Amino acid sequence: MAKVLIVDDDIFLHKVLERILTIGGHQVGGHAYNGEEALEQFVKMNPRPDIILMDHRMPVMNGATATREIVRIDPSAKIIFVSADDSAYDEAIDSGALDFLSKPIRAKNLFESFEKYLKS
Amino acid sequence: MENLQLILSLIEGTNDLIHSIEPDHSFEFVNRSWLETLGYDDSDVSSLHLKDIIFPGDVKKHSDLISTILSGEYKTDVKTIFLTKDGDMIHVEGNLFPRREGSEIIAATGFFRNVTEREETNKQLRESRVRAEFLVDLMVHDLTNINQEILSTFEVLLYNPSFPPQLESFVQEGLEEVERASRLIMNVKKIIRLDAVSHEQVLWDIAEVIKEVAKTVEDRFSDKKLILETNAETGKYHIVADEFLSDVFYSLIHNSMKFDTLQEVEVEIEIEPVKHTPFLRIQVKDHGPGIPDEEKELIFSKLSHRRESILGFGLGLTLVKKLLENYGGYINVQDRIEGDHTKGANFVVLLRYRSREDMDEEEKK
Repeated sequence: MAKVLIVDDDIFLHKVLERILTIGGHQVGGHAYNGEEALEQFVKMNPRPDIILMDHRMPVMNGATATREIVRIDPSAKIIFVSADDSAYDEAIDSGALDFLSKPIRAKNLFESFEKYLKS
Repeated sequence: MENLQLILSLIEGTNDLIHSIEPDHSFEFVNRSWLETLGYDDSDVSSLHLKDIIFPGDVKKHSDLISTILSGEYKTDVKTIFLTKDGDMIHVEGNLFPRREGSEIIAATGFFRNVTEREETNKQLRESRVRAEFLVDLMVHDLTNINQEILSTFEVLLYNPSFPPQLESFVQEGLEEVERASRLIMNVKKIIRLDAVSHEQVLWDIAEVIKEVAKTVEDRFSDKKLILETNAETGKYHIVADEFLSDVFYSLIHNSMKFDTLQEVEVEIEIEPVKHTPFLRIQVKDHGPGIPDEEKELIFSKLSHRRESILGFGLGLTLVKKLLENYGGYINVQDRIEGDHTKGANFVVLLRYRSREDMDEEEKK
């Protein structure tokens, strides 16, 4: 079971992702609606999230910038991008994300990615 | 004398703007079109200087250019902006060359074409493109999020132990439709991006591309199994292409999976070089319902969207054709069994390739 921080500016998406994650036996430990909030949440969360699900295009601070900052604070942070913007792939991986899943994602693909990176 | 008359009539008859500029930047000569376009009379010319007719931001650059010409150089494809007497901007492009009397250079002569309308059209096109890209981008982002929400909601229903099993197939169909809508949206985005941005070309191992794509496609069909037979050999043939190469094979294999009604879907991919040409022939053969002769051309046509939507191909094959054209390649569709389209389709792709031998040779160099 993983403790997950969901970062996305779409409020409804938080609800459906949380339901999916719960079905998969995971726990949502925090919600953030832009990169800056993600950074604040990450610092506050104790213990830190096992996985961060990160959108890219968000107001205030985008996902890649937030990822760079989070990885700077904790290089072992595990961040998986879930984004509708395929063109952000390189930026996401360069900023320190472990994986990039293109929306819309199936639960199966999400859990496979979890399994892969929780083990590592 | 007759020759001189001919030259003068050509200079006065042309729509090009011609002027001759002296070292002090006054005008030695201007033609009729120059006067009409810039709104001056013959009587104005003697008091004009170069700086009066050149857009302020271009004066320094153009003055330097005139100095170069007066030192004996020729310049072609000169682009600048003239100003009319009323202050309107006239975009021009043309050539500058020295005018000599004997061995002495006495002026810089320019022949310019008025390209203002073309520039204006280009500007409007660029603005329209930026606007279209912005709207498509916005649509793609928001619709994809909406699709994600619908898809995840369907999945939550399916995973619910109390969900009636007899309704599962409806939800599965809904899931597939959401994914189809998402692919359509992404294809629109890709088609727009293909025209707008130049993409980095890298070397792809075609066998690896096909292997990865086959896995991705199979993952998309929870109730079907892909039986792929191929002679593709890792490391043997490489294609120079951008990141969208996999979309070509994704679309073809996905269509095969989608239209074949069997649970186990057989697809054969045969790869062979076309002798004495730079092309690799890649045949993607399936056992689906096939494509009747009258539809064979239509499925790739951008202008047959209504038709395509009846056939259910969306924009996938339009994107495939566009991508292959960008790679200098080609696609057509034939019957897997010649003369009987009902036995399945054979999509024949031609792509320029490099063999392992070519690459070894290049490395040695």
